Amino acid sequence: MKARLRNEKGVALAVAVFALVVIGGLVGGAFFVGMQEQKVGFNTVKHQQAFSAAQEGAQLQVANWGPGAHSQLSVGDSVAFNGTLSGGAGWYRGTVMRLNDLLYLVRTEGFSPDSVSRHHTGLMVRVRPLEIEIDAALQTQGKLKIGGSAYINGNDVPPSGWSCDPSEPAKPGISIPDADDITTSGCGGLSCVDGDPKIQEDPTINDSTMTTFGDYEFDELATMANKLIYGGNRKIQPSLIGSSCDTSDPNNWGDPENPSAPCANYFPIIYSNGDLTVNGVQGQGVLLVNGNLSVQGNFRFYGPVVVRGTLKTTGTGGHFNGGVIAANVDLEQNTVLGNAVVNYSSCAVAKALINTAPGFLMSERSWINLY
Amino acid sequence: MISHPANPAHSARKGRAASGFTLIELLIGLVLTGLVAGSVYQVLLSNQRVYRVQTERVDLQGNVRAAVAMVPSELLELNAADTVDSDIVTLGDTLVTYKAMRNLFFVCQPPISAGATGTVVLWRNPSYGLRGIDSNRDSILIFAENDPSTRFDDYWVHANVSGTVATGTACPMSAPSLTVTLDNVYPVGSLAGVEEGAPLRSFEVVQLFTYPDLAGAFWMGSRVFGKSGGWGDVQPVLGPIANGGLRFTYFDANGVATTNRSAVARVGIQVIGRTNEPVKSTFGDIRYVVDTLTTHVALRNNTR
Repeated sequence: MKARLRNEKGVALAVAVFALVVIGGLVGGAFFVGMQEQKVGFNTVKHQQAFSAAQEGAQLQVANWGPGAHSQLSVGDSVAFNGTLSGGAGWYRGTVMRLNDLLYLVRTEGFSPDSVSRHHTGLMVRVRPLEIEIDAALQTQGKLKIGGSAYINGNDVPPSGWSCDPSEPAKPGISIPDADDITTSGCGGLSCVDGDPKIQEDPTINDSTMTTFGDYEFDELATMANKLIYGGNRKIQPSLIGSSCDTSDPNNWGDPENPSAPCANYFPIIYSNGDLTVNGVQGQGVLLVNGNLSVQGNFRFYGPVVVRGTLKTTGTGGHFNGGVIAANVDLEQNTVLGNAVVNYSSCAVAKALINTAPGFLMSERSWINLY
Repeated sequence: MISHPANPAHSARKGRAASGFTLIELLIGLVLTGLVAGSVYQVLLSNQRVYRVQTERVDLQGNVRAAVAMVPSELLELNAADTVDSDIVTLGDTLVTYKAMRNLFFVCQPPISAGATGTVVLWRNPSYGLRGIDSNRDSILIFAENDPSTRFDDYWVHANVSGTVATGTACPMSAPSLTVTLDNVYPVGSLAGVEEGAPLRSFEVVQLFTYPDLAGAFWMGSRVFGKSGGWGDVQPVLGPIANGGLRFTYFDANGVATTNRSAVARVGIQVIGRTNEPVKSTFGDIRYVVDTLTTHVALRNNTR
């Protein structure tokens, strides 16, 4: 039988307990320091994730800022966006706010994946309008026939109901290399043409000047179009999805005559690759036709129009508010008949160009830490 | 000694005495206890040293990390290449003076321009920043659009906030407003090119530099330039750092070192952090531990 130890004297237990307490304290202290360091590192990673998310959210908005993006916003209004970084590395939300005709603020809050860290940043975007110089109500390189009750007006006419800057000085009614190429009927003494002067002969007009617009060639402008159509006979009028403007409708070119309507601020760049016939009603923006343009049914358009072929208006004709450039090497004959009207309008041109402009970061001080 | 073998009480005392410790036993016990206590003390001492070194190193790393987080976040926002005047006021190896952006407002109506003076009315909402406009230390930058048909004449107008910043409802539809009076508008008359909706940024002039405390330890400090009293009190930013432990280098857009404040495109920052106290190193000697961290900041807002 094993003898049972009865002697409980000595200090071994006390020493062991003391040692355990001491070692426990030291281990606890080291653990605490380690935890603190880990937390600091963890927070640094989270902050960086939030910063990166904010950056990506803001930069994506600018990178995807196509022509006319956000042009439907009124000054002071904003549109929200959000997204998630690939791999779940964070997420962001923000708004694009229109500050004035040319400036926007992209405000983005970035978050770490678990949303414990947040970073708030801003980017200033300035839109860069297309440079389509309108030098006359109607500028053409070839022959021009004016008849019926057509009227070509180089005086600056603001569109009805639009908020516009003061009118600019009148431009020529017609700008053409050789005035002998103009044929009129029922327009004695050029009574159907107004402007300063009514007709300006400009021998410098050539193929290049009619196809080059600022930094862009016609073909480059075409690539910027956000409304691509392939000719045909179309009735152009605003359309809605619910109470919102249906910008996907190829025949919706905005609503220039109803300034408070949902499509009032929609200004597309329309590119027709082929002959186009328009039979009513109204539209706005920049119209580029790679072919002939035939207008009837009292169609009204607001903004610059560039036609590489023949512009022809018949019947109740069309009303162009802005300016028309007909450019074609083999331009046969421009015909303005019926009761067509071509009005120069600096306001319509400016609004169309601004609202179809692509956006770029401001050239300096575009990045803002919003805290 | 007289013996009493017939006395039972005496016999009992004799038995208890036999169960006690001898002097040898006591001595051995004391020595062993001393050895154990000494060992425990050594372990304690060693662990305390390790703990202290750890704490010092954690502080040191935290310091250096803070430097990398804080300094670039301010320098990031600078525009050294501003077409009117650089945001870098002075540059040096051990200090940098710059215009630190403090908030963002938007103009709610075209400013009143009178040459080198003017008044600008701002939306109170939206506005962003850590604080409002402080007329005692802030100046402003306002974006001037000038001719809307071109971006090549755009620039930021520089001006001094000359008077009190008044609150009101002067914005369209009686919205809350801030009215700011300005002088030293530069270029003169340039407020005429500012449109409604233009962004306005206020800034204060800040200097980052190294300074020693009373104990001789060096710190990174900052101070703000006040319009009336000159440089304000030094605020410790982080430290301690080694003597000469804060260095700036400046590079232009081609990556070449420059001393031209308008040509700076990138700033290199080197921070050599130092522990608060000397600690025992792995080699046994007691000294301050230092850690070096170098980072570079590209100035995001430089004119492109």
